[in-house]
Amino acid sequence: MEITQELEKKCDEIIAQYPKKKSAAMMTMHLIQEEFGYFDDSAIQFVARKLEMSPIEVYGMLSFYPMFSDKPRGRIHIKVCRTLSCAMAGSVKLAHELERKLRCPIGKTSGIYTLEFVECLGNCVEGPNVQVNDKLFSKVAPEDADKFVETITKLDGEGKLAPAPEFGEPSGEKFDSPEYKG
Amino acid sequence: MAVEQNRIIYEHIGLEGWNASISKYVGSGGYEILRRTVSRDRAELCSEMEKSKLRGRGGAGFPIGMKWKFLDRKSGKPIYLICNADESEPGTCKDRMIIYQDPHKLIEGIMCAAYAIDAKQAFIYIRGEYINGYRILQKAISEARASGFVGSNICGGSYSCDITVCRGGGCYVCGEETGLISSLAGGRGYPKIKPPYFPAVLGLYDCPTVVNNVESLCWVPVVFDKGGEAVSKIGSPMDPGTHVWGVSGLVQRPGRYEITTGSCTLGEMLYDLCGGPLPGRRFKAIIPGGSSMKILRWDEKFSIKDADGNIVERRVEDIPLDAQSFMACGTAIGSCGMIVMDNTVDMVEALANLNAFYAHESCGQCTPCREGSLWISRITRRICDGWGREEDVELLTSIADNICGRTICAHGESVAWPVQSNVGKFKEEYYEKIQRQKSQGGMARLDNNAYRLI
Repeated sequence: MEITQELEKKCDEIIAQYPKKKSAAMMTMHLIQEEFGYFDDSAIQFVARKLEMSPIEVYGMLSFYPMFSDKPRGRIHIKVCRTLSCAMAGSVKLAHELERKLRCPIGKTSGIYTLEFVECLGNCVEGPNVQVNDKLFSKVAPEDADKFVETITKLDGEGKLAPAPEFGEPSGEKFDSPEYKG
Repeated sequence: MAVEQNRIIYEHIGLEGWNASISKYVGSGGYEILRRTVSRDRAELCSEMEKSKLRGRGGAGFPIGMKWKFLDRKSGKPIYLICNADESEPGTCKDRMIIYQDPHKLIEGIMCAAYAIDAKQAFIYIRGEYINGYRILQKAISEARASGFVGSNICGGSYSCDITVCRGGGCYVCGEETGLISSLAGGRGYPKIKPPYFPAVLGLYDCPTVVNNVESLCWVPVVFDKGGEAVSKIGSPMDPGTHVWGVSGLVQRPGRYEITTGSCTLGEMLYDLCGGPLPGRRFKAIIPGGSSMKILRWDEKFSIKDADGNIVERRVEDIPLDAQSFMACGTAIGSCGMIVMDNTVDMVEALANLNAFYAHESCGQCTPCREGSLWISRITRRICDGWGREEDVELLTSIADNICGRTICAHGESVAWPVQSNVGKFKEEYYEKIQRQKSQGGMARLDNNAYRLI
């Protein structure tokens, strides 16, 4: 991985915010994850050098936190919440529909897609919740799986799945479907 | 009596025309309390907090004022304040709205608290999945810094304190305060044993640290403004204030409702605010406060001592919404994320779903939790898949009993409580399911008319 000067600068800015260098580990690792999509040896070495940690400590964090990955993920990373409230709203069925539709097994990467079950996304009252890259979609009914795939593919084509924070956005983007009632 | 919400913490949330910008917040009288606070006496502010008797909103319900009082001020080490925004308990979704829609309320709360405890620096540890929440907070903090509410010489006074936002990595155990501190110090989010690692004494960088939940910190300006006495008179005397209940699951109108403690009963909230069960269904069970709390069977009855000392019988729907009443019924309100289940839900599948969560989130430090959570997850999964054995029911309880109280942090209890209460209260369902499957030769899923939850 090529470490640009810009990246070094961003890293230094993060480190400056903390009383101790090591504290910047989480944010530095998020920076690498967002920049490259995964960690290889050179990325681990870079973080270790920057934060004056040993590479094994960085690898320890990489394997501990589910959001960091040592393998490349698809451009469209779909995380379906599987915890109880969302499951009761139909998220398990939804994930299997998506699996079939995207031809991507749950927990795997296939082409531009990575499909995963994740634990609680923290929007339990509007399940099923699906997070696609940075965007949260709520009330995605299993029978709307086809429409949902079309929507995210279209958003991806328009470059709108990339980080685009709408300031003060409400909790999730309501997926326009009738509420799933079981 | 109609149930009414009392919006104190959620006063701006969902208002028409409201957004997260500083101009809206200042326009509605925001940061005025901070302006008045920075010239007040610190000891007086801390005693106001103690007088308010407010309990922490993160789940454990420890009094906020007490937490501040335990701070080791004699050591001469710097004091740190951490806002715990790592909201990841299944069913809990109250802090998300504050962060996304009213970040300045949180920032004002953090700065008031930081001044009162004389913190050197404040941190917000936000869960990794709230990525836009992180960006919103960053923008809000830079706005507040530009207006002189955060950073050096706050509101023109002599006190300076900055807020740093750190993102988590999708790890549930980092919501535990010592785990959070380990993660923020750089490294795996391993919880530490208390004693000696009480955050108030040996917290971040082994310095005294206060870790408060988002909602708890939003209460701080309210207490400093109205006074501790006045706040302690809102709602139940033992658990004053309001709670933001996030009701999810199988009700007509799931949502977030802010209710004065003790002002209504569980039944009133579920029927009047949430619209009752879905058409043609009946309530079967509720988990009152985040999935790790003990489950309540809807037809359960409790014998409770009332205020005059008489024993009265109480149904689940008659439980008043405050910490004390739920504790009397053998469970706890936790973080007020209520999960409602109706008669279509298969309790074994529901437990299997939660067990999978806890098995995934165990940090792996303590053997009983690391191994036990995986065992119970596999056993419940096996029952769901049709290969359950009758002795599994006892085995589940026995494993749970052996995890409970034998771990560094409360994750052990989080693993054990749902199993103990669920198996204990719905035992016949487990036996019935296992026997039915046996008679069909392991064809479990075929006759399962419930939702598939795992």
